[in-house]
Amino acid sequence: MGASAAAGFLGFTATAAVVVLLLRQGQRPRTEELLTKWRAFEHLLLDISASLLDAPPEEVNGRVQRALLRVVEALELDRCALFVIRPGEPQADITHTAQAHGVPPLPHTIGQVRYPRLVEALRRGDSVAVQGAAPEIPSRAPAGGRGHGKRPLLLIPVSSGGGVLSGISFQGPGREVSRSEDSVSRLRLVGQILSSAISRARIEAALHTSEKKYRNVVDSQTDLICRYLPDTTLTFVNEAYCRYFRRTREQLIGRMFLELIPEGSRDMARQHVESLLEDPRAEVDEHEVLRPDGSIGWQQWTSYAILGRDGRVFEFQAVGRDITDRKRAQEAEDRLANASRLTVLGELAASIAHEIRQPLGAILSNTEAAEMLLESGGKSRIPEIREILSDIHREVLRASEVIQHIRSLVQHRPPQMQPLDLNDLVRDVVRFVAPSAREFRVRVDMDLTGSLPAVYGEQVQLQQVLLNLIVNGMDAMKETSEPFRRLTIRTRCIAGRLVEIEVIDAGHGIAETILPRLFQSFVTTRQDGLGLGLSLSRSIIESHGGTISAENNADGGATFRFLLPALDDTRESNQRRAS
Amino acid sequence: MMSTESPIIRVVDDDQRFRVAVCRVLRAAGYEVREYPSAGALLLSDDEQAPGCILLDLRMPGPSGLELQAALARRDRCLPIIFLTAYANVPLSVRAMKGGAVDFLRKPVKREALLSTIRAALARDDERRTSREELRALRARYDLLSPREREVIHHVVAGRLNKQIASAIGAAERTVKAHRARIMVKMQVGSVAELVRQVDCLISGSRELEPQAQPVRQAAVP
Repeated sequence: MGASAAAGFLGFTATAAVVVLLLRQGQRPRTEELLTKWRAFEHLLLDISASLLDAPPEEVNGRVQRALLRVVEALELDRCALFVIRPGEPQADITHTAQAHGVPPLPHTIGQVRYPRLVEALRRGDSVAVQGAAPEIPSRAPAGGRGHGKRPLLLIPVSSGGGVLSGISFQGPGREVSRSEDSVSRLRLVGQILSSAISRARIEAALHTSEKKYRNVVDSQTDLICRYLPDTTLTFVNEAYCRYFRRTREQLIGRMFLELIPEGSRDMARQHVESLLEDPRAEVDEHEVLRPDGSIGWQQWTSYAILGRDGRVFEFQAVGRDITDRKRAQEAEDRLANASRLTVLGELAASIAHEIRQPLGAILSNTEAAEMLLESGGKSRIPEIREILSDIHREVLRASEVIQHIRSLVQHRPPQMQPLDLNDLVRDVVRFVAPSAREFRVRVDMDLTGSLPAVYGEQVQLQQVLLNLIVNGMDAMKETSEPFRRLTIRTRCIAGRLVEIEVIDAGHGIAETILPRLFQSFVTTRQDGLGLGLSLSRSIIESHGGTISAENNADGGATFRFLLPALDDTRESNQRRAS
Repeated sequence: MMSTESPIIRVVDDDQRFRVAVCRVLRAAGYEVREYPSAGALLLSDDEQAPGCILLDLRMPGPSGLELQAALARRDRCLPIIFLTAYANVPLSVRAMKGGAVDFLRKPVKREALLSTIRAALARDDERRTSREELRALRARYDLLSPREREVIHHVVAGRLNKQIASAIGAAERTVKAHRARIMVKMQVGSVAELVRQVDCLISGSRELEPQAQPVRQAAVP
């Protein structure tokens, strides 16, 4: 559209020039002849500009060449050429040239522009006439038909931008190459028509190349790329998009991508686009799509809003890919996780039931035994009954302990962190396990370092860890012969900054194969163990900012060790505890 | 014939406190009780000949109750087993019952349920012991028979007449008659009906009793 307007403008300018010519040269003797000549020239210009207008970029150079030739012929010139002078390069490049029959062609470059003033004038926009052409410009041979010696040369600047000067040159008989203003402006018009055609071709070619490059990039993507309007109408899709849906570009562009989404998921997708309209942002969205084979797949899209001048979204550009496989794997994983969670819960429930039924069973049987003894023997059985009652008492405590333990496991009771003396903690737990230790014939020794710095912790949780380690240790010594069943609990302060507790047993040790996984869930060496004790212990210790580890002793058995950070100011913490 | 020894109830449970409590009930009910902390302890030291039953926990360190059941079955001990466990599910109880358990009880167990199951188990043990005794006596009597008499006895049990038997074994009818009389004396029976019952016992008992039992049924085939 711009090009045809330009052509119209050029046509108008040419006509105006002729009118001016008529007014000025009206009285001159050769007016009639000139008028006819320039009118012919005007037709020629129109013809040339028309021929260049619809020229495909690759043909423009050829047509410019032909146009120059027609100008040479029409004006009976020796030659006509387009040249470019680039800044800092002291030579002129001849981009296009045409010459009359018998005139030698110009070289591609004219060696040196030896006339700085000439170039300066051209840069200023003045045309320059040279009466005797420069020696490096080959001239018609002196013996030639039409004239002798050097022919005058007219140089007209056409455009000058960024220091690049382009112009047109005419060489021929002085009469034709006149320096008159009218003549120059007409001739300049020739240069303008030709050079604008050339630059348009160059721009178009560059555009074409870059578009091709861009399209190649876009089409060779395995990612799907599209652009769509806020109502989800597709305005662009790349090859990968077409391949995915097995449709052509024509079939896809103009359709709403919502149609490619299963009905059940359309609302979600629509809502996502609406939310992007309200708050333009690059956000990943995943939705189902109808695949060409009729199955339902999953795609992941990132849409970028393209904003108009008014700041509103007029289009989205989006990059997407198929994530069906990932989605399916994830679904399977979720199902598995759910199933295993249920299994674990079931196992946990069974294990809890077992733990509670044991003391309840003992209580019930003890009660019934006591009743039977009362019925049968009366007073003589009282010592026995008293023993039974104390057992019942103990079993009730055992049952409530189990429940307490479960409560602390299940309810995420807010931990009560406080400064703790780990020596006290050890003494408490050891007192607590003393009956079991007697039963298992395990000797429990405490090796406690006095004036241990306090640690900041949750008492019940840390008691659980220690209890767990002690019970494990006693369990490991079941097969150890009695005199060697010794469990040592040692506390130590390391560099004033860490408090260490070690539980050292003389049991069967830990199998090397299990050692690396020892603190993972569901790893157990006990037949009735759930394998949660040590993993739970690790969670507790780590939540206290500590570490827990285990190793086999050189002289048999194993040592479990945990380290907790010491409170910086023990005195302060003691005061806090006192208050 | 009833066994004269008093039954012993073997309680196998790793939970000492529960074991003590259950044993108290059993003792208060007048039973003789022996305690074992593990399946292994029972296998090592129990007098299998003494009548009674086993009250067995399912989950224990070392061999489990089910493993003990299987081991006892292999060793051809026939003490009835009652499972008593805090940890119970259907597959486990099915396995236990298929293994020949008398019952599968859950902790906590009420006295009535426990004692009635114990009684059932002891009755079963008693019955088995009695039938074992009978079978043993029967086998002893049967062993007294001569090969010829054993041949004759199966014809008799099959309901054949003396004449038919005589022709089948190629002997005089009078000889068959004499064999018959001696069989009745040796087997200590007064009628053919009683003899038939005894031979049936031998046939069915031989399979569960001594492995060296003679293949009676084969001999019965003419």
